[in-house]
Amino acid sequence: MIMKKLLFVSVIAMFLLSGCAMVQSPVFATLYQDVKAPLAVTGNSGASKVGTAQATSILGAVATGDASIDAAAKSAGITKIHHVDYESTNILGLYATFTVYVYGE
Amino acid sequence: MIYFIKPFDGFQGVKGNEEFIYDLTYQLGEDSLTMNYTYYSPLAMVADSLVFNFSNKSHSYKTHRLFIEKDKKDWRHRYTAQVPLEVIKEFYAVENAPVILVLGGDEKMSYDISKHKWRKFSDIMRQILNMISLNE
Repeated sequence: MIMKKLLFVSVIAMFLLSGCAMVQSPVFATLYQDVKAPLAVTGNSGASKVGTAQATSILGAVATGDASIDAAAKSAGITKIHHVDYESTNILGLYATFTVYVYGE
Repeated sequence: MIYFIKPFDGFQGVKGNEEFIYDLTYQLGEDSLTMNYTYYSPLAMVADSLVFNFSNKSHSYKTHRLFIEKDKKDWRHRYTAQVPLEVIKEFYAVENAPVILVLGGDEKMSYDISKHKWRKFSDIMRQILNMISLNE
């Protein structure tokens, strides 16, 4: 019985330690993370439009979404990109999002 | 200064589960905002106007297609419209939940929001709009 409990705890611990939802960020935190950072800058002038695209990870087990610059630009009809930022959030390694913000014309 | 209000998905189709997601972009000093929005329908629909119904008034704006593409069983429509800043301020000032319509030819998509969600979201939006006014 004790062995079964130990095995169960080990499996849960392994899952929690190795199966965390991770996301790109300039700084990391284990409890809560909500960070915005630069991704790219171009030589184009003007930014009156903003487009976003997002990808999500749950428990590090399921990750979905299209967080590409192309998808973000398309969402706002941007044809000339001025700069690109991203925002990453992570809650306890259980739920993580990566959002791309494209600014341009 | 450019303000971007993240996508909001609180409005739902009157049948229940159809999503209407929109975001707002405002450039300081302009008298209108850009509203980019996404809606889904089983059949592709070409929209021509976006309508806000609130306080027994109807505000209609010309809308332009960004793209229409197949998304699993439905069609995903992405459109854009310019909405006057003053109308947006009035929209978020109303207590009773408003209705948003997308019209195209004889077709109509209608979206509403629960009172609870509206109270919470409109309060945040009023604070954002107030902050924008303070920075004008």
